Amino acid sequence: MSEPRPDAAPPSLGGLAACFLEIALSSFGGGLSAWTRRIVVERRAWMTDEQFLSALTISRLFPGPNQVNMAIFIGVRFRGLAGALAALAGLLGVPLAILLTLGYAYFHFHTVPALQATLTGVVAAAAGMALSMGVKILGNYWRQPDALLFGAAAFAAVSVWHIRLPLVVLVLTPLAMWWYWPRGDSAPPAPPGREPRA
Amino acid sequence: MNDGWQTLARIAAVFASLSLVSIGGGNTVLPEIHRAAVQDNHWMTDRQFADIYALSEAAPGPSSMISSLVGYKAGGLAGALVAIVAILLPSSLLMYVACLTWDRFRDAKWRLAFERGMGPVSLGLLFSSGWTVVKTSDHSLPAYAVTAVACALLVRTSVSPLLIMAAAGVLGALGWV
Repeated sequence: MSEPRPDAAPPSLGGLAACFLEIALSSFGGGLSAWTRRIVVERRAWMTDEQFLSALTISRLFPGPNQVNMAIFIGVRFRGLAGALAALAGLLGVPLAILLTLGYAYFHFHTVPALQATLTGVVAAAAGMALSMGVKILGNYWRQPDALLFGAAAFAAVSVWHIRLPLVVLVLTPLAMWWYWPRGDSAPPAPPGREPRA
Repeated sequence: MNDGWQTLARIAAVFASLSLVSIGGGNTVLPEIHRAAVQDNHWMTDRQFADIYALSEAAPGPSSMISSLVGYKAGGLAGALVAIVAILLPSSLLMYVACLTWDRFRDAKWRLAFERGMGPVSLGLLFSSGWTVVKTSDHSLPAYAVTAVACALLVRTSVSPLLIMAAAGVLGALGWV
């Protein structure tokens, strides 16, 4: 972790929770990491842009939702384990309550024809949203046949051959690491993937 | 009562086993969640899965929140909480350890290899997730058109996803999808 900005006072546990609650609610409908940057870097000045980018990179690399990992990173950095828990509570509490209310309404009323018809449209759009996550980062790898091959192998393993995901990840991750292992100056640098919707 | 505990244990096992392989931002486990919810445990139908995916995307909050709705359908409120804790706890613990140690490995070769190698694998898995949702949703020609337009708008423009879903919902209510 890089050093905190000297001019920024470390936020309290309540401040961390409030910050991530604000992030969760601002991001209604997407764009979580853009909002995280705006609130954490611009508005509260808890981190510099550079620190934010390095936090984002780690959050994307490790398993788990990017924003959850980001909340842990920022929480730990300022207040240790308690800070991480406070940030997570802020990020997850209200969205969970909203989603469960929606879920309750859905499972009780989803046989209403008008609601069914509306949802059919929303689901079609959501399918486009799910596809767009892959399409967005495809551009970064378009001219790298080896990267496309790894991507195709992962897709085929899960969607064509129906191999269980843990097995796919356990086999392909070491293979990809071996392939991209730095060997002098010859290894081509791969750009970090753009973030799929988090 | 015994059945209830068994269901909760099943929910915990399903989601905990997916936590550490949810690379690429947490969305890549969608095909596995679908398989567990619809095929393996018969907690819901394809149609219901597609619907709750749409709900979880429209609501605020990070990805993986769909886990709570799968847990809810399988085991009520307790099921929802078990599911969200199970999918987040293992990866969060790993992230916690990473926060404390990652800087020590700044120049390690394995770290560089890890940073470069995860992207291409995630790329393919994200397409698998997209494909799962397309496959489970309705297969009418207008629905495919809405899917294609939504995808193109999200990739090419900065239109709010919420706005796109609302517009598609109106099209659906009018009976055009």
